[in-house]
Amino acid sequence: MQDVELIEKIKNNDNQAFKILISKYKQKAFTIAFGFLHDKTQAEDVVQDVFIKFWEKRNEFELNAKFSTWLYRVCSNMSINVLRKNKFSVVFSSLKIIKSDEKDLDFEQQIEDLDSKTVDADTKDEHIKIALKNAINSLPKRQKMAFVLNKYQNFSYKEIAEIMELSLTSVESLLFRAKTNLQKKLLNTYKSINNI
Amino acid sequence: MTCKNVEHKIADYIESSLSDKEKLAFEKHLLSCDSCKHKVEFFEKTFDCIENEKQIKVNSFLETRILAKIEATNNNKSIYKKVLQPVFVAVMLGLVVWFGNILSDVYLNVSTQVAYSQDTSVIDKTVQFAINDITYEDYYFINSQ
Repeated sequence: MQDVELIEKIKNNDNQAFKILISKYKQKAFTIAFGFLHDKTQAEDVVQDVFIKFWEKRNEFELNAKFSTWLYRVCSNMSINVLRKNKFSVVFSSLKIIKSDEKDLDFEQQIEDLDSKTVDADTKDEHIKIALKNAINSLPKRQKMAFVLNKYQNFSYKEIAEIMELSLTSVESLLFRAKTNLQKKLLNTYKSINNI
Repeated sequence: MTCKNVEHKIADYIESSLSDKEKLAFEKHLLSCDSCKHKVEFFEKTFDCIENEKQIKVNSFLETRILAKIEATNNNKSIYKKVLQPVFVAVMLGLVVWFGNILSDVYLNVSTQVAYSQDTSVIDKTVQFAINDITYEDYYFINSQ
């Protein structure tokens, strides 16, 4: 069944059609959310919230709009919001631990310090996971979104442009900068792990 | 190719987006440089990590979970409609009646005072007219007009 037909039924409060729509898109939405959050529970919560948001606003949804584009955009934005909340909660919990002489450090530095403490304690595979997570999280919002959509869902530049409501050139530029920044960040992490 | 060049091209090498010539030079450097070889291995593992994360499956009961949450929200809304809404309306009505009562009291007070002041003016005028030798009955007749 096409998305338009499903959405028409959902607008008439058809739960079964809604269930079919969720089944169709839940995995893709989850993979995107996971690309940002790297946490199964949080990624599932985001997917759940996106679909509930759609259900609540179903009557305002325009039938000529592409559902998948809307879904991936909202899913990415919600994941970024959760990431921002996580960042603040990490900072606030770290503030309780950090001594007064470390108070001058900026927030980013504090997060890196916490991460490096974790790296020392975990296994080598965990190092890599944390390095990847930190590298992706350190990217600016739009670079991060373009990178996750491209790498985690293999979306083409054109699809990313539609989801992010940008031109193809902007997406190309974002992805180029994302790759360059990620490369720098990973190299720095590699050097710090190996004391180079 | 130098170590610096390799560092700049690691991501492109892993994504297989180097030209044949560049790839050959890149791999030739790796054969003679252990440090760069380890860096490339680290990058390969990191990019493999993305591939592994893409394989993670979402909860197969997510649909049920979402529908249950929507149902629970609707139930909460119906509790509001069935219990809290009537209570809220009753309280608001009570407030309106109470406020109306206060307003009517104020209005009655003002109108009594106005009536009283009119009476006073009548008396004043009676006195005034009495001075001018006009009787009370004459005044009543004039005021009625």
